[in-house]
Amino acid sequence: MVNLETLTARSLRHYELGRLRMAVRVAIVLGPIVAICLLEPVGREACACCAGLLFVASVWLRFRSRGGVESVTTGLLAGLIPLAAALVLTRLDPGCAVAGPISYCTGFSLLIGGAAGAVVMLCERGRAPLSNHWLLAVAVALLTASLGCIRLGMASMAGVALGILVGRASMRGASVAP
Amino acid sequence: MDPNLRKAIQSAILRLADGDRSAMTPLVELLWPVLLSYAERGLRDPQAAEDVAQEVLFRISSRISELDTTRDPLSWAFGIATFEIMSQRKRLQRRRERLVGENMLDSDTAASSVEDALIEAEIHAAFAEALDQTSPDDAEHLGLRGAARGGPATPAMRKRRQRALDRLRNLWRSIYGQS
Repeated sequence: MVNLETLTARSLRHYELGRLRMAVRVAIVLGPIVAICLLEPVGREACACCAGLLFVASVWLRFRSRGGVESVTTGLLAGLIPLAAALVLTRLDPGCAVAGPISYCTGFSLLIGGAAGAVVMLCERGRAPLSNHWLLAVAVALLTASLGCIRLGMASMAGVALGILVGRASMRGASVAP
Repeated sequence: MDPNLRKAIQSAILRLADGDRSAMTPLVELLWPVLLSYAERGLRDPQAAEDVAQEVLFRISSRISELDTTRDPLSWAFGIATFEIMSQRKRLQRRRERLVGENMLDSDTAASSVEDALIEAEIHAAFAEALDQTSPDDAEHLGLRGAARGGPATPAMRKRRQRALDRLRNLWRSIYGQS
């Protein structure tokens, strides 16, 4: 005869292992993105640091709950826009890395951040309303964006962060308005 | 299945899929008897059924985070259970076939060796009987009795052995016939 307590404990262990396996699978998506970012000669250390942080955060969020899984998916999707844009900008204008806070580079970051914020809002709309999961999605998007933006300086990072918040808020305002 | 039980199991699975670990205790309490009886019906062997039901429960637990919540969770769980039960049945059937095959092979080998041994014993007995009727000189010329002679065989010795062999052959035919 099976002891239900033992069975529950063993089932829980299998459950946690299954969740961890599912959570770690995010590496399949993150791997190529990080590899592309690390190919860039400038700011590799910072990029690797951000990649490590993004991986840990993604695994943890996905492991924790389904809401976390959705936040990571939304964040990665949204963060890809500023990441790609930042990589292109680094190629086109290497001067952006040393440009001041008031420059067209910051303006550009704000703009692409806005696009990412809009994506966050659009993804949220298609899913069930889950308390403050949008904040987690924004955090993941910012970390993803930082893989490309970190080499453009803190001003660009701040621009993207602000852009994401503004973009999300404006999309939300547009969808709520009659 | 009772609709309330069905609903409770579905709710526990969905809660676990959402990441609520506290739903594991009610899920095991509710799902275990259902899985066990399903496995017993599928396997007709209580011991094997318990093992398979445990395996199914662990498999459901480890894959619950991948559940598509738009699908019916109970159907999904029973899909896993059915697959495991069918796999176990196939394993048992293969084991049974292998055992039967091995037994048949063993009995074939044993039968052939017993038959060979019997034939050999009969031939030995017949040869001993024929040898008893040969003369001591012939037995000596054939090298069946007495000390073996050293040195090369002379033509006279070869002739004597040939004649002794012919007499033994005739004796064999006279006792056992041409065949």
